[in-house]
Amino acid sequence: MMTRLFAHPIPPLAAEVDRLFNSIFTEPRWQAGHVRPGMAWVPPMNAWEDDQNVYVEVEVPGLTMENLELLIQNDELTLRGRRESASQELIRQERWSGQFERTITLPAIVESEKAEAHLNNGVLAVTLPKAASARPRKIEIRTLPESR
Amino acid sequence: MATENGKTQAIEKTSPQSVEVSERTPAQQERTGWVFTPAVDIWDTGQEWVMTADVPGADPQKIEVTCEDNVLTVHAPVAQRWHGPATVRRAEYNIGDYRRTFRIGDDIDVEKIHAECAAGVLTVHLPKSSRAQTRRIPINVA
Repeated sequence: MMTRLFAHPIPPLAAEVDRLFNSIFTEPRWQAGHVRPGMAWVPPMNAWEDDQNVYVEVEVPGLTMENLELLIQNDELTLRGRRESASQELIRQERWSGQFERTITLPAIVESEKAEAHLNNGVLAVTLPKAASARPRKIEIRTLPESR
Repeated sequence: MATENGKTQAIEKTSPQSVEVSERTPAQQERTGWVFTPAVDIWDTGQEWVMTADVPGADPQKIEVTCEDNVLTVHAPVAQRWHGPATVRRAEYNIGDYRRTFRIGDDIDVEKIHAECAAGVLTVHLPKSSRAQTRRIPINVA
């Protein structure tokens, strides 16, 4: 009888606690991209994936390959760079300048040696092929001869 | 520096008299897609005002800088970049055109305005008319 009384209010609460707990601990780790403290700004990033690749795109206007550094280690991608201020005596300043560094955790292990990066009109586009183990594999289903 | 929609917010020192900047507005969704106000830097070299604007993703061939009735308009169309069916993992910016207007003073020689674009940064040169230029007057030594 007691269990019945408590059985009703407790499940929704437990479910709520579970939901909160899950939202904190099961959120994909790589979504929590981190920025080194003391950095004034970070360029915005977009990322997506399909079965074969992970794609990362960053808006870095004014930067060239010479002042950009892209590092991939295991499932982490780090982008470093620096943009000089256009002039020392700006009358209006809205554009960021200075150094930045940010690291994101990729959603899959990638083959870093096959990564490709292109810089076009201030947009850095990185294609990272997924490691074979991270790609979905189709398992052949063999049909057994029907036993009669 | 605060950010809004992934774009840097303004830090304003003093507004120049010859180039009045329209304030940055949040991204707007128009019939053709998103429109952003590009971030700009402006400085005075004595001979001209120079303005740089961040327009990442814009094709330099398609950027239009127009001047009419002392209003300078920068319009930088950006083509959509669609990569086929994929799962989005991070979305910190939207893709859209850049547009912003500036009111310029009579001391700018409209005929001589010119612009260039490299690495997603548009630079507009606004030469001052000879009257407005800082001139160094030679002092004759008697």
